Amino acid sequence: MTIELNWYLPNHGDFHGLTNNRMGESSNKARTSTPAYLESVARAIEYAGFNAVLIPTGPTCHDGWVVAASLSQVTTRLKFLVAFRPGFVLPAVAVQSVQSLQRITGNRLLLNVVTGGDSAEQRGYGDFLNHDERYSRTAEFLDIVRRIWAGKKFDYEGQHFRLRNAGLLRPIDTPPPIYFGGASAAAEAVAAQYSDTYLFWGETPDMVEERIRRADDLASRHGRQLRYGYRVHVISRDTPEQAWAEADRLLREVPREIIEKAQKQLQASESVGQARMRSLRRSNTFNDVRDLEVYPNLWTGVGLVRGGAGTAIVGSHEQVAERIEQLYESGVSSFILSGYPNLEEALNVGEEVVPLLRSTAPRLAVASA
Amino acid sequence: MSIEFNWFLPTNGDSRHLTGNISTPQLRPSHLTHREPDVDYLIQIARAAEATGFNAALIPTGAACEDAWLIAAALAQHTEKLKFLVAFRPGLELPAYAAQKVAALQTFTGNRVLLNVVTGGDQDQQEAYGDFLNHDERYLRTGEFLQVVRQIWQGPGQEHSGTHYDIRNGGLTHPLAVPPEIYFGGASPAAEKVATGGAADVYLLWGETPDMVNERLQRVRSQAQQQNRTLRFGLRIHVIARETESQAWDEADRLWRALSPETIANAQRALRSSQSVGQARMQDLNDGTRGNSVRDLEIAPGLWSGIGLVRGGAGTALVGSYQQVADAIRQYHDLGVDTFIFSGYANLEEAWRVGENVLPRVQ
Repeated sequence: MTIELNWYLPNHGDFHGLTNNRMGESSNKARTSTPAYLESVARAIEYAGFNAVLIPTGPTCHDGWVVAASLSQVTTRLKFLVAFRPGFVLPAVAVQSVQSLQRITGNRLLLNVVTGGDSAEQRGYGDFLNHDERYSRTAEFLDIVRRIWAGKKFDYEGQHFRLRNAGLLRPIDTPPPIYFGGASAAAEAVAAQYSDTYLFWGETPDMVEERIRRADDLASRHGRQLRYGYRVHVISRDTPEQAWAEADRLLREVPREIIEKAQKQLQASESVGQARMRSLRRSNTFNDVRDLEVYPNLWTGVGLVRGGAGTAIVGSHEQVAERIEQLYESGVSSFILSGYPNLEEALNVGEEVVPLLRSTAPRLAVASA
Repeated sequence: MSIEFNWFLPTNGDSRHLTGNISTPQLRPSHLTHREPDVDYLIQIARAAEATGFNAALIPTGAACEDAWLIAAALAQHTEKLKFLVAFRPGLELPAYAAQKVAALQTFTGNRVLLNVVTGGDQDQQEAYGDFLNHDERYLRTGEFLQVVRQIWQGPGQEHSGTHYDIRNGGLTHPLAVPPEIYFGGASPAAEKVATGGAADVYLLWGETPDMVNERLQRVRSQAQQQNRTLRFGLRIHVIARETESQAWDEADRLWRALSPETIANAQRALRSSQSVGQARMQDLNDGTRGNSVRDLEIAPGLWSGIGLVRGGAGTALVGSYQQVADAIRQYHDLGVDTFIFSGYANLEEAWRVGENVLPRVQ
């Protein structure tokens, strides 16, 4: 199995720091997510040799399908891991969009199903289901998508969707793989049955191993085998000292009140994955940057102010490569990395860490399309 | 009154023949030329339309079409001024989501988006997508959908409680700088009511005869006036234009000769089962058979209904010399139509031809 290395598209803006709220400094170094900037990042990610770019979804993001269609015209090999929320569009329509995007991109599409963890946010879109109902809808949605891809016309009577004589006019050539996030029991059940790659935020290796064991077991009951993916930030430098100095800079630039405000918001989330991120830290107070190192080279400082993936692998290029290899030994074969800011850090990791993965572990091929 | 010319983008396949575009190989007469709607081909049409001065490209929607939002996003990277009239069906996604997609597309096209709302006239196709409302309910939903979309565009803090949609504290994080104009199709009373009730900026008609168009324009205009609204009007029609009238009818004859009675019978069965009032009005313009000569299907001077024998939606073409077609366009313009959406067989060559030869004669 190859290690698949992907990078993240800052679809809602990019920063030199963890947030745009930098103490004592103007925020004129924030990069808004203009088409021109996103194009630059996509080209850098492709140039650095990454397999795909994750295009996130959310109220502050540009629509991922539109972004992928657009960026596909200025790249040639880079794949697009398009995050989307299944509750906002009928599955038969999504299938048609997928088919179009495969044609437009030359089969460079990967799907990232995001069920949504915040009920208030969902209601802003007009979706009033609760957490577990949303996952049950995601299951039906993916069931319908896979049936349509299978090619035969069918009728469907579900709890959330009903279709008559559904199917594509032309069969799809290349159905994209489905990446899936969600850490609750409801999510695990759906992942086991319908996903190809099950994604984790950057938890410790032992937490990941426990989840992989459980998901392997659930998937085997459906006669399926999953791949596993890991979404994490990276702070990689020539020496460990330089990397921790960079983490320290990121941390010191965030005002205390911003951390408090962010924590209040994050604690209100219904997301089980979010709660697991929070549980990595014993406390939100710290004296030293390394007080937030919860496992060798795994730093939870990002999660003080950021929802979703809240940890970074911090260390020398060699240490970062070792951590990735260790996670690979644990069963993770797909990585989605990001940094501050993403353009420079994609090049940094592509040039410094990727060659180490190739040379120290020759049996591990780094995938590039 | 200004005049706006737009061209059609064949995202369901293109051809130099009337039925050669069909993407499903089994349904396509195998001897006809066929062009797949690959981006490389669509880029050429978009560039032809842009180079010859068209305002926008209509990107259609339907089970046989590529996703119009994504085609627009891709083509925007290869054009500079051309706008995209993106057709979509409002019932198949949530309005707040569609509104956010519009915002992204405005950002990535540099505000070159126009919207074409297609409520959908075919019950079977809607049910295959998972939509079980009936014809009139669909138009009411369209009205509410567009109301929510316009609200979401205004920015944060939006609330809505309706028949089909509820929103709690929704809205874009920033108000949409340039809300796109909304083009609206639908010929039924239900459609007219929604269009004149504030949903539409431009009301679209398929290429009916000038008399039929005039009657509808008067009715819709007065309905809108009763609510202190004004609408613009658009006409979607094919064009077969050549140097001379006889060359143009030779071209129509070429298209007509390639139609077998069997192809016509198959298409007619499907078209006559549609619930669309606009489709029924198109069907009334021919008797469902090819007749004895191409001009048997000329239903008003220079207006040919042969395309509607085998094609759903716009089923007529303006046929004639460049000057005759320009005059026909001006005749519709005099009735109050200021927006035209043209197409031809095939669309790449015909965009150049119409752009270079007909448009200068109208302007």
